[in-house]
Order: sequence, then structure tokens, then C-alpha cells
Amino acid sequence: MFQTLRNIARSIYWDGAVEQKNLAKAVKVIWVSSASLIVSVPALLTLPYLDVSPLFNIGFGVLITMSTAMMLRSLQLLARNRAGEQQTRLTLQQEVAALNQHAIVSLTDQTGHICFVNQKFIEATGYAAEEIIGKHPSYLYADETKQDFAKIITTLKNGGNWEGETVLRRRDGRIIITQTTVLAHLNAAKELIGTVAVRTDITQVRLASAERDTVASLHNLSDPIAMIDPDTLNFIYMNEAALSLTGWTQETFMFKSVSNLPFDTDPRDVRKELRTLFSGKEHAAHFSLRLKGRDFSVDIQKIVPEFGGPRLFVIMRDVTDALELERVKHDFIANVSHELRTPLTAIKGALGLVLSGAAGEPSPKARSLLDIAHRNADRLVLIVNDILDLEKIAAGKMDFSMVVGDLRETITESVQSVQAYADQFGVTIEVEQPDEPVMARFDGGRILQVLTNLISNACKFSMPGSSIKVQVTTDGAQHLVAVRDQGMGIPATAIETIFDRFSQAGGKDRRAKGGTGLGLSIVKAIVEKHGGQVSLESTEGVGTTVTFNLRGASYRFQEMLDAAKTA
Amino acid sequence: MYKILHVEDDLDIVEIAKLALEFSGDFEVVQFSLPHEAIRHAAGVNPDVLLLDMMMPGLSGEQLLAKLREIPSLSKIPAIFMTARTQPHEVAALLANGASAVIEKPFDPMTLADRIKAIIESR
Repeated sequence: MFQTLRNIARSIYWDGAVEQKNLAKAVKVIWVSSASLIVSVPALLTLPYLDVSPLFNIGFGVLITMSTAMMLRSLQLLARNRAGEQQTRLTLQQEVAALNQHAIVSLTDQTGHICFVNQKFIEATGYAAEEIIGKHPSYLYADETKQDFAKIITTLKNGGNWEGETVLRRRDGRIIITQTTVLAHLNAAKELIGTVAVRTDITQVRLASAERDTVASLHNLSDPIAMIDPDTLNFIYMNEAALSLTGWTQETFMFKSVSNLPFDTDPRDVRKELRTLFSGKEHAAHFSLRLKGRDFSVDIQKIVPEFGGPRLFVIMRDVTDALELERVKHDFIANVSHELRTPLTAIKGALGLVLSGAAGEPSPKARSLLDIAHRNADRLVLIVNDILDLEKIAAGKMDFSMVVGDLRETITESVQSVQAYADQFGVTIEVEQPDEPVMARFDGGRILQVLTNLISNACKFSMPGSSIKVQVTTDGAQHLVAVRDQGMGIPATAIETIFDRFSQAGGKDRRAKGGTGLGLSIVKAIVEKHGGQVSLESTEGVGTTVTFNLRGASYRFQEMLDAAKTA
Repeated sequence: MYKILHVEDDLDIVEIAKLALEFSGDFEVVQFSLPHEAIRHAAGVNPDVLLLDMMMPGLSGEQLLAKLREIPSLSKIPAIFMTARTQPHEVAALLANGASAVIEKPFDPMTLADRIKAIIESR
């Protein structure tokens, strides 16, 4: 390789030096020979008229003969040398042509700037020669590989040649990976006065290699993967896991289509999902199916490769175990619900009956202690309920019965339900809402839960004698519900995490007010399930306002939804 | 005075429910802690209302109700479930299977009698 490159460099730097050197040598001989003849011939012609010995005549004769012979020999050598050089030049030109055909060549001058690029370079990089000549070679390197260029220069300055891979950026921004050899051109003082870089574009080789690796990885992936022709629904590709699942082989799957899959699910459902991809509106589909007694989550992506028609790329994930785990978790939550509430029913019931005098009037001290036990039993019930609610929301198991209705009715109901609680704290509740219906699509029970939670919170943290305002404003499209108290407020440091689970603004006083620390998390989760958002503003010593929004809706919207369901 | 047939496997709740209902003065309470015992004796009790737990050994509340409904005198009387599982879809399923109402556990013993009376009288 280096020999070839040296030859190429020789050809590229061809300045006729060799030829000129040989020519000069030959001319020198011819000049000496000619001079000898010029001196000898007149001398020979005048000799007969001079009185010289015959020995001189013989000497001149020999001199003329030798000069003539030398001149002829020089001319012969010159001709032969010229033919050799022409042969060498031809060979080098052929090598250069061959190299230009396959390699990307560029040269730099002693200033380190590009001074020559071949046609292949222009084709590979997309730059015109005039755009790149005069530029520093680092200009070509992709940002991530500019440090490679510095290493190359260091090697070359030390007199070495450099060979390796370089990543260049084309004019259009695309990357090309090249196998590169860079030769240093040093002067007599061993200073770098130029370089020759010869590159081979290996981008496609690399891509092909990456593609082979990808296919190999896909083939061995534990999830079943397949490729389907959307026109025929025939399988084009199946990895090992897919073959194992279907029981087909590399030889047989090519003759199978989607309808040959051993579905437990109704194949019509699968075809329905696939049709959404054929309609052209969607490029991806996700659905579940059962195959050979296992549950699969299926993702299908329509892809259009550079060559060939569109393909459906199918990834199946066996979710049987995950679903079973989910079912176990759900059952666990349901069982915890039952197992915790049953003893709580007994505790609360017994305490309630004793406090009501069903077992005789307790003494004042006993009543005080029973009150504590009853209050904490209530608190425990709330905690259990809140935890279960949050788990249900997180698992998507909480039912939301969305119906279009007048939000004002739910607000009135919530105020009524917490009125007795507000009375305990000596707090009044004011409601300010539009005279016109405030229509929204919501789960009345859940929004009631949100409102009673917010209003009872406001009661707990309000000063006796103060008031709480529940305010509804609307622009028709969005309704804003704000619950504003004149309580102690929340420290700024606690506001950020106030909606987190078990988050309560600190302080003994607050903990003494009871609550589970889960209420606002549930409020947030329920409001978000309605597509709304909840926010809180508070100033210590002034009060707190919690606001949430719900989208407006109409009965007509509900009718449309009902019609769509029955269609 | 209404006669109520209460089936509940938790003996503490059995006692509290009995106290709460009898304390009101409006109910005569007949209780069983085993569903099969209830089925065997229900016809002789001739209750005005059924109050059934949901999760019991041997038979669920729904299965017990189905068996009790086979007794002609009990085929149409109000049936109330007491359960900790009160998600809307769970309540809806119980109502669809012939329950008149669902009371959530833990229940308030001081309002239990009034609630059941209201359910009976609303029919």
C-alpha cells in the first residue's frame, strides 16, 4: 500500500525532474562531444597545411571518432531513457487513474490547507473543488471526531504515516465513514510540507454491518417479532421467538399469513386493528391478543423502506405474567380493603354504640377516652380509604362515571355535606357561582369527593369566625372552581410538595388537625382524570386558595357520546 | 317492627349490628354466621328484609341471595348487601343481581337502622 502511495505521490508531484536530470546529463555529453568535434574538425582540416607530425593527425582522428561515438551513444541513451521515463509515467498515470476510480484523494500544502482533491473526493463529500480547496482539512471532520484530526497531525509531524478510520461530514450534513491513509511529505529538514490523504468510503459497509448486527439481534430477541406484507398479510420475516410461538419454521413461515396464526382471540378483531393501518390515517396500532393461551401486547408500525413497498413491523410482548401480577395486586388491594375494614367496622361500631349510651351512660373520663378512640378509628378508616383510592387510581381501576351535568348542583351538595364539619370550627361557607347552569362532563361522586376534601381542609385550617368562599367562574369552555380560606396559610417551602403523598405542611398544629396527608394527592389525581389541573396559592397568615378547572360540555355532547356508544 | 335476617361471618360485626338495630327499637334481628345455616332456617324466619355480608366462607353474598330467592316467601323481599367493596361497578353489579341497596363497611351503627328502614319503606 505504502509503495503504491509513494508511486502515486510521485506521479502527483510529477515535475519532470527525473526526465530533466537525464536530459541534462545527455545534453552535457552531447555538448562536450560537439565541442570536441567543433575543435577537432577544423583542426583536422587545417592539419595538412601545418607541419605536424602524423601522430597528431592520428590523435585528432581518434578524438573526432570518439567524440562522434560519444555523441551518438548519448543520443542513443537519451532516446532509451526517454522511452523508460515515458513507460514509468504511463504506469503511474494508470495507477493514478485506478486510484481515482476507487479512492478519495486530497493533498495539503505546506500551510496545512487543502490544495488538491480528486473527482472521487468531490463525489463523496458533495463539495465542489473550489469550495474545499484552501480550507483546513479539519473543516471536513464531523464535530465528534475533530480530535482525531489533531492526533493525525501529531503523527505526521513526527514523520510517521497514519492509517485508520475517519468520520467526515458531507456538504449536505450527512456522515461518511472512511478508511484513511495519510502520508507525510517532509522536506530535507524533516519539516512537514504537505500531506497526501487517500480514503475509501466504507459507510455502506458499516451500515450493512450494522444492519446485519441488527437483524441478528432481532432474530435472537426474546420477544416475537415479525414483518408482514400489508397487501397479502403474508409473513416476510419472523424471528426465532415468533417461529417458536407459532410452531412454524424458516422454511414454512413464508407461506403463512396472519389468518394462519393460532389465535385464541377472534381474528376479526385483529383484522379490524390492521385495517386502521391500511386506511393510511394511522401509522401505528396497539392492541392485545391471546395466542396459545398466552396474553400478548402487540405493537404494529407501518414502515416504508427506501427500497420496496410498505411493511408492517410487528412486535409482540408476552404480558401474561404481568397481567397475572396485576390481577394479584388488584386482588390484594381488594382483600386488604376487606380485611382492614372488617375489624374497623367492629371497632367503630362498638365505640359508636358505647358513646351513644347503648351500653349505659359512660363516665365523663371514660367518654373522653372513648372519644379519642372513636376519632382515631375514623382517621384510620380515612387513611385506608385514601390509600385504596390512590392505588385504584394508579392502577386505573377507579371507576369514573362521566356524565354531563350542572356543576353547581355538586357544589351545593358538597357544601351541605361539610356544613356540620364547618360548624365544629366556627367557620361559615359562602358560595359564589353563576345564575346560569355550569355544564361539564364529570363524575359527580368523584368531584363531590374533591370538593368535600378541599372545603373540609379549608375548615380545618381556618380561624374561628372566618369564612370560606367557594367560587365558580366560567367562560363556557372552561370552568374554574376556587376554594379560598382565610386560614394560617402554607409556608412557601411546603407548597411545591403539597400534592405529594403523605405531604402535609409541617408543624404540630397542623398534624393535630388530623387528615391523612393523602387528600390533596387524591384531589389532584381525580381532577387530572377529568382532564383538568389543580393549583394552590397560599400566603402565610393570609390564607390559601386551591383552584381546579373542568372543561365545559353540554347535554348535546352527552347525547352524541351516547349515540356513538350505541352505534 | 321489621324482622331482619342478617348473615355475617364476623362475630363482632354480628354483635354490633344486633345492638345497633335493636337499640333503635324498630327491628327484630335474626342472625346467622354461616350461609348454609341461613339457607336451612330462612323459610322459618319469614323476614321482611335480608341483610347480607358479601365475603363469607362457602358462599358469597350473591350466591347466598340466589339461594334465598329460591324460597318463595323470600323471593321478593328487599335484600341489602354490606360490603367494603363499593366501587361503582361493584355496586352496579350487585344491584343488577337483585340487591335493593348496598351499605358500605364500616357502617355507622347509629344510622344503620334508619338507613335500612328507609330502604324498606321506599319500596
